[in-house]
This record gives sequence, C-alpha cells and structure tokens, in this order.
Amino acid sequence: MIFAAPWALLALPALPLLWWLLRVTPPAPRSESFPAIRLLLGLHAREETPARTPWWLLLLRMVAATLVIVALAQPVMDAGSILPGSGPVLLVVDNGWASASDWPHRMQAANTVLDRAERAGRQVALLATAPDDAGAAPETTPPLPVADLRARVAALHPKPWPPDRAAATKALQAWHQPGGAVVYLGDGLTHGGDFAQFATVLSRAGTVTELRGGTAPARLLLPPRNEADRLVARIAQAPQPAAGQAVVLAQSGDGRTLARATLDVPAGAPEGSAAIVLPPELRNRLSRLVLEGPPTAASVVLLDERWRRRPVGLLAGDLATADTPFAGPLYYLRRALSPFTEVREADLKTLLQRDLSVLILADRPLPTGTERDALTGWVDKGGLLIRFAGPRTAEQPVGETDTLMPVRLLGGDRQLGGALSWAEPAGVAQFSASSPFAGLAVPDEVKVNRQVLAEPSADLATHTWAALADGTPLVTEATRGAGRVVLFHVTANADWSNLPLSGLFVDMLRRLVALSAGVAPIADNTVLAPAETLDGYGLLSTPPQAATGLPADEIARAVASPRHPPGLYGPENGRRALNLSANLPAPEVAPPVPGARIEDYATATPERALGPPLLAAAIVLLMLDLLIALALRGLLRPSRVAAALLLGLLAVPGAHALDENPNPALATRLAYIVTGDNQLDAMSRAGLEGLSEYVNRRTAATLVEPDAVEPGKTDLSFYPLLYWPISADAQPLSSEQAAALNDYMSRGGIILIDTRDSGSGAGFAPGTGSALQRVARGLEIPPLAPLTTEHVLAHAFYLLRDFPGRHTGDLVWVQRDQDRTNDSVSPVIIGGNDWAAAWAVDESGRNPYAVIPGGARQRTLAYRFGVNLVMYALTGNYKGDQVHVPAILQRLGQ
Amino acid sequence: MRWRSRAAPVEKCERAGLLLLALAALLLRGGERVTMIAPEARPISGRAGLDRLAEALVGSADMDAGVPPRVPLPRHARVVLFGDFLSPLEEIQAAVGRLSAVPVSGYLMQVLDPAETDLPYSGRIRFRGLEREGDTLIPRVEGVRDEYGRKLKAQQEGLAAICSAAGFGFAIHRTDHSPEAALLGLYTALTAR
Repeated sequence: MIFAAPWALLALPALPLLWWLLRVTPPAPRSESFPAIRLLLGLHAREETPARTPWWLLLLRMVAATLVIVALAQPVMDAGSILPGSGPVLLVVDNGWASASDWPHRMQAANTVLDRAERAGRQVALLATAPDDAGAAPETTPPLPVADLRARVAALHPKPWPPDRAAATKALQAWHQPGGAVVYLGDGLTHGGDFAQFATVLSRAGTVTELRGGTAPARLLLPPRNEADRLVARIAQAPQPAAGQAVVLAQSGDGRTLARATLDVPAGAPEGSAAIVLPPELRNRLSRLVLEGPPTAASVVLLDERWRRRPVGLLAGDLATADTPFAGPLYYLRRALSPFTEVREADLKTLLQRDLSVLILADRPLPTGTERDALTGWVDKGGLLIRFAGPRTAEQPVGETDTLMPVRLLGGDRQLGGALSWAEPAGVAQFSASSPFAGLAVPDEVKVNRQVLAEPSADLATHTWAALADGTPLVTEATRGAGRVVLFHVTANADWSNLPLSGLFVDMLRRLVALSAGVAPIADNTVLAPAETLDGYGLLSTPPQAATGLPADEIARAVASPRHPPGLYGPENGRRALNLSANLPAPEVAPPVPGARIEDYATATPERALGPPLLAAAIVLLMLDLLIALALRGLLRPSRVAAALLLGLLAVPGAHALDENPNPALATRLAYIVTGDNQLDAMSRAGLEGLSEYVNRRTAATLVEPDAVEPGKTDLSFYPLLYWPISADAQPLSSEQAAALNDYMSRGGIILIDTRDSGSGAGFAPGTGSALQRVARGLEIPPLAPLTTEHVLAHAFYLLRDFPGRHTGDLVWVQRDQDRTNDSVSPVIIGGNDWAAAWAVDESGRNPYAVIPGGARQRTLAYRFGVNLVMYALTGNYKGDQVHVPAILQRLGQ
Repeated sequence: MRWRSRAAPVEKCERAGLLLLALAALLLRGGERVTMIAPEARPISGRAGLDRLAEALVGSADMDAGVPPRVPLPRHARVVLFGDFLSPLEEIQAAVGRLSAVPVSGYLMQVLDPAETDLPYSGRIRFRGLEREGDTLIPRVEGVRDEYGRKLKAQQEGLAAICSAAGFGFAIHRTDHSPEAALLGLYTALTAR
C-alpha cells in the first residue's frame, strides 16, 4: 500500500490536540423550565467527569478523524512498483492482431501505468506499434500530462494487421528524453525479423519495464487445405513446451456452426491441424472458420469461392447419343453430379471460357490439335480432368499418344466374360488407403465386363486409385502441372460395366470433385474494391476509409495492412477473401527486451484506491456520532427517529426501480424493453403512448398506457407486442433474458427490434447494428427476409408500400418461412427506422422528434405502420386472406 | 403555578383552582359565607354565589405572587391557602404570622407537580425559573437528586412547623394524585374545628 498524498498524514500528530479539545468541550446542555429552581440553585454535582464527553464517544470521533486524515492521504492498495527514472514515461503498446485476445487486460495494465505516472507527476508519451486505420506509420506522441493521454489510450484498439516493427524502431530512435522510463506492453510475438533491432532501440530509449501477459500463445488460424472429402483446418502458433488443443468451428453465412473440429497441437510444434468432414452440400455453404476463444482477427478465416464452388463441365465424344436415356454416356454422370455441384454442358471452347474446376470427358479422344492444347493449359493451371474410356478411346490409332492420359494404354479393349471367354466379369477390389476413394464400401454386384488396359510399367501401381479384383487398374491418375488427370478405364454408361448404376459411382465422383481446386472467379489484374473487412475483433464491418482496392491476381500474395485490411473484396457475385493469416510469417515468441524488468500484468491485482471507502466509513461514523450526541442531549425520541428513518427511506431515489404494473392483464397494452438508457427508455414510452393514442383514435382496438418490461423479470405473456430499441452499448442478453424472450417469441409474441440506424440515423445511433449482433446472439431468430408489400404486415389495416419511422429507406426484416405453428406470424420484426421517435408525443400533444427527411406524410405513414403492426399483433394473419382476393375473384369469374 | 411536567395530567394552578371551587361549593352548601383573599372581594353565600366566585377566580390575574395579598379579614375567620409554597420560608412565615395575628385560623395546601417532588431528569440540563429567578446549569442531574430531595423535605418540614406554630393545618397534594382525597382531607380538617 502506498500513499499518493503522504503529506496529509502530517495531520495525524494533531490528533491528541483534537482529543484534548473534544475532552474539554462538554456537550451542549438541554434546557428545561422548572418552578422549583430555587431549591436547585445552591446545588453542586459531586462528580465532574460526566459533564465531559464520554470516553467511547471520544474514541469514536478520534477514529473518524483518523479515517478522514488517512483517506485524504489517498492510500492505494496493490499499487505496482514505482516507475524508474524521473523524466517522461514512454508507453509502447503493441496493438496488432495478436493483442486482441486479452485487450481489456492490456488496457487495464496501460491505465495502471498511467496511474503510476500521474502519482509521480510525470508526463507520458504513447507509441502504438501498429499502423493506424489511415495507414500512417506508428509515431510517438509528444510527452503529455496523463489526463490528456488517457483519452488517447482509451481510443486505442487492436488492429487486424501486424505491428510495424521497423517503423516503430524508427519512431523510437527519434525519442530522446533524459532520465526517461519506457514501459513496453508487448504481445509476445516478434512479427518478423526486425524485433531484435526494435528491442535494442527500446532498451536504449530508457529503463525498460516489460509488461507481459497471459500464458496463452497468440494463435493464428491459417486458411484451410482442401482435400478430397474434407477441409483441413490448421492453426499456427509459436511452439509451446506443452501440448495444447484448439477448437475450430465451421460456420455458414448466417452464423450457424455446421461443424466443429478439435485440433491437437503437439508440444513444440508450430502447427496443428484437424479435418472437417462435411457432405459437399454443407461444405459449399461454409463461409468462415472461427477459432473458438476470444474473438480476434486472427481467429477468423473467411472462405470464398475457392473453397466452395466446383463447377463441373461435361463433354461427350459422340454428341448425338450423349443424352440418350439409359444409354447415353452423359446420362448417368449428370444424375450423379447435379445434386451436389453445378454441371455445365457445352462445347469445349465455351466451357473453358468460364471457370471450371472439373471437366469430364466421356469417351472423347483428344487428337493433337487446338483442343488438346487448350485442355493441357487448363490442366496445368489446376484443372481436374476426368476421362472415361469407351470404344472411341480404345480405337485410338497406334503410334499416336494421347498426352492427356494418366497412363499409356494398350490398343484395343479387354473383354471379361462372354460367349468366347473363359474369364468371368470382374469385381472391384477394395480401395487402398492412399486412394482418395479409401473408406468407400465396394458392393459385390459391381462387375466390369470390358475395360481398356494400361501399359504395364514400374510405377503403374502408384498411379492406380482403384483396381479390379484381378489387379488391373480401373481408375488411374497422374498429376500434371497444378492439375490432375484421372481416367476411368470403363465407360460412363452401363455398356462396359454396371459401375455407373451403383451408388459407388456417385460417391467416387463426389470424392473426385471435392479433390478439385475451387475456382476463383477472376484472376486478372481487375481491381477488387473492399466490400466488408474484419476489425481487430474479427467482426465483419464496413471497410475503413483508408482501405483501397486490390488487384485480383495479387490477392493471394497480399499481406493484411491498413490499405488492405483482411476481409472480402470484389463484387457481390464474386467475393474474394483476403485472410490475415494467409501471408503472415509463422508466429515466433519474442525474447525479452535486453535489460528489461518483466512484470506480469495478467496475475497482478488491479490497483484499488482506498480513499473513497475510508471517507465513506468516516462519514458513517460521524453520522453515528451525531445520533449519539442527539441522544445524549435527550433530543432523540423513538418517534422522531422512526420519522427520520422513514423520510430517509423515502428520499432514496428508486435508482433502477421498474414501476411494475401490478395487474397487466386487465387491459391491452404495448410494452417496451428497458435498455437502462433513460433517454432512450423515455423515448420508447413516449413513442408507444403516441402510437396507442393513434390506434385508439383510428381503430376499434383499445390500448391503455404502455408498460416498461424487463425480460427475465417481468411476465411477458400479457403483452402482444414488445418494442425493443437497441443502444450502441447494449450488453449481451443473460441466459434467463434470452430464455424469456425465446419463450415469448415461441408462444406468439412479436418483438419489434429497432436499431435506429437506417439512412441518416447512422449518425444518431452509431454502432447499434453490431450491438444487435452481440445482443441477439442468444435469441432464436428464424431465417429472415425483407418485408414486402405482399406480407400481411403491409395490409393488416392500411395498405402500405413502405414502412418509415423517423428515418426511412432501409429494409425491414421479417420471418422468411411461413410457420403454421404460430399462425404464420413473424415472431420478430427487425428494422432501423427509429419508429418510436416518429410516434412519440410529448405532454402538449406535439411530436418532439422531427422525421427525416420530413413531412407530414412520413409521420402519417409511420403511424400507419404502427397501426398495422398493432393489428398484426392482435389479429395475426387474419388479413392474410386478403392476399388471395384477386385469385378468388378470378375463380368466381370463371 | 402555571406549569406542568410531562408526567402530570394538569397544571398545578388548574388543580388548585379545582380544589378551591370544590371546597367552596361544599362550604356554600353548608351555609357558610366564602370570600377570596383579594382586594375588594365581597363575601358570598348561597348557591348562586359559586358562579361569582368562579368568575373572580378566573379574573384574578396575580397568581404568581408567593404570598396572599394584604387585605382586611374578619376576625376568627377560617383561611385556606392553596399554592406551591416554594418561596423562602421567611416570606411564608411572615404572611402566616400576619394572618394569625388578625386573628384567623386556617389551612395550608401545598400543590406540587410530581416532577418537583421526584426531579426525574438526567444528564446535563440548564434549568430556567418561571418567576424570574434566573437559571442554573446542572451538569449531571442524577447527582443532585438526593440533595434536592433533602432540600424539598426541609422546605416542607419548615412549612409544617410554621403552620403548627400558627395553629394552621398543612397538607401536600401532588397533581398526579386524585383530587378527591385532598378535598376530603381538607373538608374533614375544616369541619373538625
């Protein structure tokens, strides 16, 4: 414990003086009139001491005085050590991606340093090592008084890019302050090779104190690797002495977790990986991988089309018979592929004009020529070419080699079974473990009658993915450039084998398609504009001002920076993901700064100022003293004490007391959810009052004054409609609150969620959109769709074409699917038009909030939307029948 | 006399007036003539006189005087004095001596508040007199209670001595006690002579 103002303790020796003063000053006497005073006149009390203050009261007062003196000396518990030196303090903070995981702790540590500097009366300069949002290199602020610097420290945020050690080194070299101290709040990683120089310059700048935090290493979720039927999630971390685990969630675009993989990171290993096995249909829906744990930019990998879209092209040798049912070579392929992938059919030139992952040629020989050249180029760039044999392939002229065959073929075909053959039709052997088909069950009834044969060679076995029971290859492959060629030695129809008739055929094609590389829509130097970027906590949001476009062919090499923050780039139909982890060096633990004193901020207890509680205790003691003095003078009578206590109780304001309606079931009323923001709550109340009055005037519904409700505390079942404005600092729902709201929604209640930030409202209520994501995490919100004029809500009472509130123009979202259990009533309506402000009326009946852009028409429409909403809440889909009126009339007419 | 403590139901003055009127009513019923000891007071008799006596009692302003005023009294009359008799004994003795020289005989009734007999206060108290006697600060009333009791007893014994010397009767009445007992004692004492 230390004292921030120790000179105040000098008053302690004055306490005996106080004791003496208190002792000689007796309490004031009570006054009484008394007729027999003459008898009292000559009397003297024998004992004098009781005339003075009793000793225990003296002690009480002394204790109170001591408390006041000690409190004024501003004692601080658990204060850290004193900063070395006497000059200004330089606070160096790493705010790159690795610092986001325990950012609140870091800020606490930084504030502790500021507290220490403030007590010592020293100025502080700040150096944040990551470039700021505008892309400016790190710079040291001039030494400032702590009060001025606090705002700057509070404004620091972790960035979704690495710190710039070289620029920070340069900024440090310019720092010359004699007797200065340096506090380095590092993230524990080197971030490239410049760290040694950075550390040297740091130690030269003054006496260094290094604050180190949590034991958990910063982890980097790497882009996953595509394998045949799986996605291999990988994380990188600085090697740790103990083995660790991590959990990776595979999430779809609407935020649902489709798979969960646990990664083991062995001791000392820089990487860990685990497979995520998903059916292709689900896999194509994945939009991001998230590392479970504190949200950071490094724990999110966005997946774009490269991981998803696998268009397959089909081309037959004989176009005339290709589509013949049950006999055509493409008939079975199309049915096997179309459920899980996009199938295209055209001539080769057209097919190759667009991006293609897989091309399947059914018995189409490739003679030397432009077609083969084009295909060769495509395979070399990463295409997967799957070929099926057939009579045309078998009849290939001797001497001409098809370079796009995985193996050399013997001329002609081999027939197994038949009138003139001793051999039986052959079954398929079990797949070897190295084959991508490993694990697929081979049905016994699959028989091969005819096949083309590969020329025997030494490495034929390594190229074989599937073989017949007698060992002759059935499926062979060869890698070519970045791509691959696969040959089925049978036809794609049932002529040569019954493989295409079996389920095995479908599974084999799935594995092969999954094996292919996803296509990126554009791979030229088109500049892709940033569409959505990640912030330091891994949340997608609008790109910062400094973010600029990125040429498509550079996206694979780009390193995240302020100009190119990680996120999604490009047009809506061809988003490309730039991932933070894609091109970062492997994380490496930073060695301690030479000569630095190391403190652990994670285990240090935060400082606590003892002054205020001591003062409070002194005040309590002094009030007690007052009561005792009153009692000694006989002025304290039980009745008066009770009255005073009662007054005191009444005077205590109901801080957050919800004046709960004792009997909400007696009348129909709207309700709003209390946010804790008084102004917002008052606006909600005024809005619902205005709406209730409007509804009473215009409709047969009778609403009484609205109620304030708190989910989890108030019984929500009496309210048909809850209005819920989202404030920017809204806290996530507790599990009870979420359960109460989910229960309310599942039983037919409607919640109108208002983010109040549409259109020009973004300036009034910034950040409520992301607050909604945070708040609504625990809610079971159904899939949503924009509210259209066909929806019941648009003609529940008035016919509406748009749904303005104070602001207008933004989409309003309602449940997408009709849910019969709740009478097809959407349990939640989400919008940002700030309806309560438009509905609000004040005591004099005027509207206190102007509508934007304005006009009486917008206000009226806002009220009409409110009326429709109330009607929708009260009558459900009753007006839904009106939708069918034209159809009914038409039918009647017929 | 116009004072009562929290423990007493009525003021001393009120109780004295009650006793006076009740005694007068009894005496008038017995055919006696009654008068106030006051200048220009006329003797009254008969039932109707009681009202005039009551009016005279309400009208008599000077209740604060320690001793009865000097007025000519008929010889061998009976005098009844009500009061708290807390004035110095010498003053009372002089007044009683003057009366007995007329000569009249009589009775002296000391009406006291229970607080005056018991001194039920505690702590540090500044006492103020009602009749310009000044005030006094008692640092600890509990400490002087016994001594006060002794002084009060000495006053009452002095009064009793004065009365017996002058041939007067003497009695003490506390305002928290029943007035009937005091009246009965007074009436018996007066009829005994």
